[in-house]
Amino acid sequence: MLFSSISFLYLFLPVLLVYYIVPASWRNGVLLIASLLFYFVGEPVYVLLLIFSSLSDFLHSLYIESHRGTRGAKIALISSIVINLGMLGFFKYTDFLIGAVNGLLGTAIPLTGVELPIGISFFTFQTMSYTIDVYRGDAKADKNLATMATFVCLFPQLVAGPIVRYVDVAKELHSRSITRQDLYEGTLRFAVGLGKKVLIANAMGELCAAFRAAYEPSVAFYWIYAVAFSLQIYFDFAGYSDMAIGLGRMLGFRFPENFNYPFISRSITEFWRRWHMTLGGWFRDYLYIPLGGNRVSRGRWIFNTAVVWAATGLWHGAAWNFLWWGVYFGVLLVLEKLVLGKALAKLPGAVRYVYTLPLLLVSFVIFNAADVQQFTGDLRAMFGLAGLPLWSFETGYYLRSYALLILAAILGATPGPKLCWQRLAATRPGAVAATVLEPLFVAAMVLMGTAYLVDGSFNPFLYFRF
Amino acid sequence: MEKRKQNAVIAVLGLLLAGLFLLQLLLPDAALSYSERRALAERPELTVEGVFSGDYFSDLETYLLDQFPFRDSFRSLKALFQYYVLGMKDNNDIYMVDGSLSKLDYPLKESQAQLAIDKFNAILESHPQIGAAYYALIPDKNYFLAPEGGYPTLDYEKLLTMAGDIDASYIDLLALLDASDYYRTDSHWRQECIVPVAQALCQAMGTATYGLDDYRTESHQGFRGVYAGQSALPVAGEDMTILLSDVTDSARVESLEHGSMPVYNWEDFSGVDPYDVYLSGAEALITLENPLCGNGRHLILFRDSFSSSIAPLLLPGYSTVTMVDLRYISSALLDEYVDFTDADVLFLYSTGMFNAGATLK
Repeated sequence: MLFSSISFLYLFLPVLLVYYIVPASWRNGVLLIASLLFYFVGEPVYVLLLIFSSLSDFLHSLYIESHRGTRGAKIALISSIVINLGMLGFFKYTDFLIGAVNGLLGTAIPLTGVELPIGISFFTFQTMSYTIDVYRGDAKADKNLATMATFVCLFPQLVAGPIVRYVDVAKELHSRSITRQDLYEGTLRFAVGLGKKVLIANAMGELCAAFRAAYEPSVAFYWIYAVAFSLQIYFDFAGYSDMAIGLGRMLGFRFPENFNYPFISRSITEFWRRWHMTLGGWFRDYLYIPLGGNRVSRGRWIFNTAVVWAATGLWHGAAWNFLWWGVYFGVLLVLEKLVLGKALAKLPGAVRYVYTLPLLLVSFVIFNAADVQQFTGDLRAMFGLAGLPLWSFETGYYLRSYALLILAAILGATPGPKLCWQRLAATRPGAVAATVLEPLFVAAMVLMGTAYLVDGSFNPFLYFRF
Repeated sequence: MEKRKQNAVIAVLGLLLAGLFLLQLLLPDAALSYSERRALAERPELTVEGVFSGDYFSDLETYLLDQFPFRDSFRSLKALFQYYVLGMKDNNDIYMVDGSLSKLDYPLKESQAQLAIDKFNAILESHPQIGAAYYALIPDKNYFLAPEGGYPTLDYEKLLTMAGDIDASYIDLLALLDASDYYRTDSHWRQECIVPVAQALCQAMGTATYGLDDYRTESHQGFRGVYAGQSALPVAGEDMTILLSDVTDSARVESLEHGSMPVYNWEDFSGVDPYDVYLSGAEALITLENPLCGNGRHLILFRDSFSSSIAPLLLPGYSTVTMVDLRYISSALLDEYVDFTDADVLFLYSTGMFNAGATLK
């Protein structure tokens, strides 16, 4: 089920109001049932996988805690990781590996055709972090299966993050209160996310689709596409994260932030501190640091970085372009650390933007390609190596049509609008205006979002495929 | 004040979600969307198979989207926002220039156009008994509106060049039409504006037809064409006019599928497609007999929907007009129903139809 769907907004959420009526001790039960139903709608069969994952990690963590410091605990941890990575590997990477083997060896091993369960990359990482944290002693094993399952299945962040660790919500899973402030901030955050997703990301997606169907491609159209897709994926994913964080807040949880205006970054290193922060944090804590982090020899550090970024790329999808995408960032990060970093720091901010943004645009062209051939073709066209004209009538048409939205999206990708609003709201007249404008804003986002959905617009969620 | 603001924010979301949820439950389902001219989804049947295949939930989403309370108002809200706030050039591919709506249709699909041309030539080749053959292209509204509004269009020059391969005489209509000859809210031309077109066609085919003064008119208000619904913009309706004469009064119309029918039928004005007023809209094969014309001439008109309104204006020059819509009847079956001997044949198609040549059977 998508957050930006009529069935979620006008069927699932209204029914979920029962959550606020039942006694506090029933809330986890209501949430668990609702979350399983939420997943069941999208994955009627694979919901069993989710239940299995919850049960498996519940039992593993109990064993680890009761055998802390023993070889048995270590074996249980390895078993948990193997099961989680095994599920992820089987469902996500089997056909990719078979394809790679067939390509390399010329064999004809048939593909399994197994479908990817929605959100498997997110919930396997969450459950893995749980057992690892229990093993490390950073978290206590939950003795209540329903509570543990509620954590794993929690619908706001189940299928597309943010990647919430057990320690982030452990206290709230056992005892939480929901204040007016929570409901208010959650509502605003949810409305912002809905607007980002439906009004901006979907429209940018339509522009990307128009680009792919263009009959008069041009160099400029390729760059417009690169900008449009970068904005689409940001507003799509950040919008989803906003909705998830907002819903979580309304339900009494505080989820970690996932984005911090990544497009204002002045280096690639900074970008990855602002983009998909919960994934970056996961890889840092559960892969990079265990590998030795940066407190190792230069050669070993480069190896660690390569492993982390290849894994980051492949986490996004079982395809070569994702691997290249990860490698691309790995190389840039190594270069910034070893060669460019000091020089960049001395440059004016504007120059650093000029350095960073084109690199990001290129990265998202690689990211969105169907295969390696497409991204190499796209990059050649962007840099004038495909024999295309610089401009075309069709390019001008789409640029004129989307110009205002692109500008609004670019502005919305900066902290500017939020800062302006906060400054305004801090004044006396601003505070008075906010009592009218904020409810109006929520109404506008919900009604406009509904209008776009009802008119049958383009409405994919990009991160579902991960 | 802060507390009041917070309450208002929470209440707005709660009331909108709960209110529309309740309305969705309480309001009766509609069978048709008149604005979009299509049947709306019905509540899906709940079956174990449907649930576990996922079909039930996707059908449920479609049903909820189709039956959503104030659906047309929400569609209009989106269209207005898209046009007037975001400044986008089109909504659902519909655009507006000088108050007239049109639909983006580009680029020229040469393979599709070639299919249509090949189809016409095959018909001509397999019927050597034909008297004379003609073709004419009806420019769609984009031909007039797109250059003015900066919209992409078909390559009309290329299409005309390609159509030159049709083994028939070309009748040029482009100079006889402009954007005002079409309904503002629809793709079609206005019957009261195409008398000169009918005269040009008849003249080229060696016969004559009436001038505008020979007709009486009847009009109905509130015609909202196909583009009004698709665009979802709150555009005003317009008048639909029919041209009546002694010929249309006495003509006999026979449809292969539906038997005898009137030339004009105002009952269709309130139907899903009001343009069906003219010769009842889409029909595979219609024969119009003109008892007032004794010249014995027969016109076989291969046509799309534009011809529904012009055929009655061609009738004064012919004893019989047979209208063939190849989207609904295969050309292989024509000899069973149509006598081609010494008949004039006219392929009269809108330019948009050439972009969907594969639909011609």
